[in-house]
Amino acid sequence: MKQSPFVFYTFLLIFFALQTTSPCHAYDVSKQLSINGFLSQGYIKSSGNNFLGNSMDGSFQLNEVGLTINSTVNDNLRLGFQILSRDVGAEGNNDFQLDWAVADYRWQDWIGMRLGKVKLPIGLYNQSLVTDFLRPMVFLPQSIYDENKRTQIVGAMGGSIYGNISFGSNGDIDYQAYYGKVDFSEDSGHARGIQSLVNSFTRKKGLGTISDFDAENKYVYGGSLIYSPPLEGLRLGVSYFTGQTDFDFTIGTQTGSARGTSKDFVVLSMEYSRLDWKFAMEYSEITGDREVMGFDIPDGRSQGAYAQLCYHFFEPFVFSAIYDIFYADKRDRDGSNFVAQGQPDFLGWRKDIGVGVRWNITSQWNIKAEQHWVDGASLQLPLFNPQGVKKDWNYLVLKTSFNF
Amino acid sequence: MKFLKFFIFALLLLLLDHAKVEAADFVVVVNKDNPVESLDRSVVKHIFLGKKTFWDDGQHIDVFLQPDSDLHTSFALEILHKSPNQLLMHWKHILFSGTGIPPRHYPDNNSMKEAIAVNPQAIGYIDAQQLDSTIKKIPLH
Repeated sequence: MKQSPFVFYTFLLIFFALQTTSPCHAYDVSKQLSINGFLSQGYIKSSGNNFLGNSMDGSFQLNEVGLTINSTVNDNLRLGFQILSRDVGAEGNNDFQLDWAVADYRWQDWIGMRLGKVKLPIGLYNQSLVTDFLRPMVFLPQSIYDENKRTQIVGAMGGSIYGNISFGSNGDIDYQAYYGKVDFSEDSGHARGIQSLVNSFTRKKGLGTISDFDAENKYVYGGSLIYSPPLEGLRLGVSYFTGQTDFDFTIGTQTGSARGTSKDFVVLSMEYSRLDWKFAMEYSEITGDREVMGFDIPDGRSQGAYAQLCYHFFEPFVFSAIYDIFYADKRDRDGSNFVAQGQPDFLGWRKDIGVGVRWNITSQWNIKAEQHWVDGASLQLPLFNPQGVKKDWNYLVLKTSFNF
Repeated sequence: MKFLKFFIFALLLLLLDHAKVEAADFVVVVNKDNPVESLDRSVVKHIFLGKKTFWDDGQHIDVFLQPDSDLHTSFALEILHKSPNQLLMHWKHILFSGTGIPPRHYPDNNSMKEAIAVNPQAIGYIDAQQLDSTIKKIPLH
């Protein structure tokens, strides 16, 4: 399902309407309207397994282009949207999408409301998933910010409330809570994962291969709390997410349905940032509750965690190292349930060690290079490797990004 | 076990870190009509990081920066405990995630003073030597 152009054109019309009805003194125009954007291009090469696309051959299908427009209507109301075109392996194909579009009304510091398409606050970094130039490494840690689940967790059409509550010398809390529906893309890793599961199920039942696969998200809801204590540079966070998506398909002359619920996605976060250092650590659990044609698929509660250290040794270079772990089922860490189903045990985990360097050429332009060594093939890797997956593999990523 | 080793290594490196704070010769300033007489440093920090967006009388706070100056570096390090680049990234995160708009930028002390002198909701910082009667200095405590 593509983004509804109606929403985008509606926001665009409101913008132009406001600009033409406002007094257009030069100062007012620049105060009321701001235009920003970003552009990035990457290259990914992997050995052993394909990752997110045909990366074993080397792939330039790794880019983002974004245009951001904000308009301050008055002291309380802001309108804004961001158009995004991206290509990440098999997903995106540089179709233009509305990344976010909000009418943001803030009554006071402790309470505000955003209506429209809002970015979802999962962990500390989900809201900046597409803006890799803001972080030290190209990909966010996959154990928590799985690129294949991106469609479901990046943003939702609905609304959120938010605010900052100050406790004086005891710190402050930023909170957000949201409810909405996700515009589900059929080329997303998440949709294709469900499609693969359904095909596997129907073939086993002798029903053949499905066609006319359609995804419709029913709801997502959740929230986050981020506490900044008096210790300078420390942030502690907790976030919660639950979402349900229904899938319809055709088998021969019959129709069928499936349901995927990402339940109780909890992330605990810690970030400690100094002038030259940043250390981040997050832990998550999520239950993937899936059902195909009325049959419950046995899903466990998966578990992910990472620790990442970044150091600004000398201008203009930032060095990073990460250790990132994911288990498909926290009660089956050795993958014995996969073995019982005739599959390799290493589908049950993914352990990624990565090192990287970011070169800040200017404050607006940077280049990154990083290498990852991975043990395990969890997180939808079979989708990109129909010929079979290998336990030990690695990938190299190069990327350059510009923003204004 | 690898995870634990990585965590301990990271903590040891953090303990070796020493924050660099440079001497600063700036003053925080507001419009002459602003009733505020002084501000806590933590409040100023919250204002310039976008966490506090309203004055106590309910008026919106207009935050001004002059990022292309040594003064900005001093201000960012001493009051916000961030490098200029960290502050820039902080505001870009807010901008591109759709949760706010960065402060307005001014090229020098004079343009900052002129902007604050005509805007009762504004706050900024200037070189202490450039302070005059068109704007009001806010003592920090």
